[in-house]
Amino acid sequence: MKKFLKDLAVYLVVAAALLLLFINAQPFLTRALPNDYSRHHVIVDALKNKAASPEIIILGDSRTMFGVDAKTISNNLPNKPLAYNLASVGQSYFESCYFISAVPASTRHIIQFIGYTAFREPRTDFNIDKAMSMMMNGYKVDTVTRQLIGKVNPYFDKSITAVAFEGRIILKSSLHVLLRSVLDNETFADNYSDLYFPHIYTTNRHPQYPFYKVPCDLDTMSVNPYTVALANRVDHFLQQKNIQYHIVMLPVNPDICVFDKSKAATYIAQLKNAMPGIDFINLTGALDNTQFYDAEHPNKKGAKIISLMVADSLKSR
Amino acid sequence: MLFNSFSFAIFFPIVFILYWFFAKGNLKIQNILLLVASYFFYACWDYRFLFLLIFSTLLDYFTGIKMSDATTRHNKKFWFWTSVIINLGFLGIFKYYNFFAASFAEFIAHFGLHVNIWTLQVILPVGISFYTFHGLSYVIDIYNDKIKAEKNFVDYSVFVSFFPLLVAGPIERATHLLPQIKQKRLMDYEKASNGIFLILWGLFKKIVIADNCSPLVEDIFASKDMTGSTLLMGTILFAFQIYADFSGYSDIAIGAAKLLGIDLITNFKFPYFSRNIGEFWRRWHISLSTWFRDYLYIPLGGSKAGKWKSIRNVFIIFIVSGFWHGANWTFIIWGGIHALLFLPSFLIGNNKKYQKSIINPSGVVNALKEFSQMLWTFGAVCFAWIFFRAVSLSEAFSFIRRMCSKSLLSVPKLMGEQNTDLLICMAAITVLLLVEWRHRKKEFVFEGIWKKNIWYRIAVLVVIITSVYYFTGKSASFIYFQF
Repeated sequence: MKKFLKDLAVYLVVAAALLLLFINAQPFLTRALPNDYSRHHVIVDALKNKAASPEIIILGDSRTMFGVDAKTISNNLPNKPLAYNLASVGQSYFESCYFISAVPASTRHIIQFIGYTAFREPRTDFNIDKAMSMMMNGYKVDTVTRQLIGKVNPYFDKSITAVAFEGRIILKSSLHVLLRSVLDNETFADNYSDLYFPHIYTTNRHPQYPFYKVPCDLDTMSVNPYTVALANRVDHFLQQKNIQYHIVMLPVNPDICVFDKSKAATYIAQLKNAMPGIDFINLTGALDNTQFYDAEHPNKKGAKIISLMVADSLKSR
Repeated sequence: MLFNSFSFAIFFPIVFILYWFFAKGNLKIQNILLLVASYFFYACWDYRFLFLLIFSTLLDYFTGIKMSDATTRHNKKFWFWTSVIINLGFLGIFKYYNFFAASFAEFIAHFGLHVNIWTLQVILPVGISFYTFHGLSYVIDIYNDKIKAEKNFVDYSVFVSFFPLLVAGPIERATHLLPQIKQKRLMDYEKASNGIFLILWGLFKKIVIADNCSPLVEDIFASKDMTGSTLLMGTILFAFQIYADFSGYSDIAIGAAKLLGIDLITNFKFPYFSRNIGEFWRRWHISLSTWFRDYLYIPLGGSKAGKWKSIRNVFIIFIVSGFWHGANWTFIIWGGIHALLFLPSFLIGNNKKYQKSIINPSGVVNALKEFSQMLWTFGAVCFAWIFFRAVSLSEAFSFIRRMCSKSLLSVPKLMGEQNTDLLICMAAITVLLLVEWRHRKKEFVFEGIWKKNIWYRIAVLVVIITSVYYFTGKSASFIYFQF
């Protein structure tokens, strides 16, 4: 009995030490290894960096990541204000709102890029893998965010130890990122952690363009009252901080969706009406089909056009 | 309460501590504790079915005593059949009624008659097939005068509901388990050390192999446009998923029992190293195959009943074994395929050829013949698994048709993250095969690990914990819980 209990004690100590080591190493591993959520590392670090003074913060999903060049915007504005592109893959409007309260004091403009359906969609929370990655990268939900969002993702209320334990699956994501570079036919530029223009396409067109289809529907456009209220709360908060809030409607690929301009104008007028304080910039018809890499994402030519149009729009205000 | 859950990680140490330190070797207290723990363990699934378990226990306990006390053969027979009919009746109602009702309706529909069969909307009580067979083996053994009826209700109840084996076996025999329950148990260093590493190895198989294979297999079997080679890969992955899942469960059960000083019967002995179907069935789900051999095949006359009757008996045992798994034609066909695969070696008297020996005992892959036999057996078993995995016969046939197309010779293709999962599965399966190959002469993997020095054991512990921690798959219930 004693001999076994002695062995058992050794096994338990080894197991506990291993768990302790793994859990404590998890935030470091999440930041150090490339994974599908590595952008959170860039975003959180940029927002926490006191040394830099960005005046323009750009938020949005992969279309914004690959389709907006912050430096082009900056270079085309007076005094060339520092601009950051803090978009990330799958960053929904709701996810973007989690970063609003953390923008540096130097910020004067927040440019939120959205797809034309963003205000129609029901409230969607981002998946827990993202919440996990944000927390592993040092993100914390503050009281302002709780007030803005209303009901925050409950995952953010978990203890950091529990999150680190669950965060071990991010290692699988790292393995996947490594494998993807070997198995995928497409090669991507290593721009994923760029603060200004994280465009990863090496060509202007996907070999199987348009690669996939996206639904196109302007006839049943309606606005979700929760999203509208959220946008108004964000705008109100930013106004108090003397920050201008711009919402840009991203271009739609004409090969995928033929946009009825009058319907689009009616819809945007409806949005403007519901959110009178927000500056809406309509770029839905800004690009032709040669300026898209695939069904949704602009290529470099498209990104340049979008960035210049946004700069022009800011200048004119 | 799953073996690979946090709740079990809390439950089992509590039982372990109370069992060895609170009971302090008092057999009566230990058995009461095991019974309470077992009922708690079962109630965690669904407390309502606990009453069914208790009823089944009471039934076999009392009919056992009645049989023992019976003064005439007729009386004994009466109590025996009472138990068998009620036990199988419950199994029939909960597991097979809907199948028979639907099949009957389908059959008479061929004659233009349409009936509205009333089907039961009931959940299958977890472990019913396992504990019913525990009870049946007990009453059959009493009826055949192999054992005496157990008079102590607590001891008998522990035999039926001992939590490590309650929901998915191994299916124990009263002749093997009851004497251990009645015997004073002391902690055995060797047994307990083996138990710890069996649990760890079982967790590795379940969490790293089965749970990582599971989503891939699900996608491949659900897909209608995958290449033949991808479908073949899905079949092989399922073969390892079900093996890792079920044998992993058995390993944890046997390991947990060892930590409580009880030896359960071996359920798996490296079945994919078998050289023919007969050997496969001596190594796969041993507790079930020996149950059917002893309580069905041999009473029917076994292989000594003449050629045609023996063939009939082979088909009966395999088809019933398939049907035991579930009320679906897919399981019956699965059993039938195994009967057909077994028959040639049975007819030429070759089926018992590898009863004692193990593949390639010298340790070097030099016996090309044995290796090719092993591959052939594995291929045949994989083919049968298609029927086991498919939801319906039409799905199984469609799967086989799509698999046996020109694209069978192409490179298997998966999408995105599935490639990462596949890589993890392949690496883990390679580890499984290498470890099992190394230990194939033993009763189970890591048998006798206590003889190795502490650093070796720590190294094994570190490797398993690290793999389980970082390569945990999508958590899923054990496949055999549904049976």
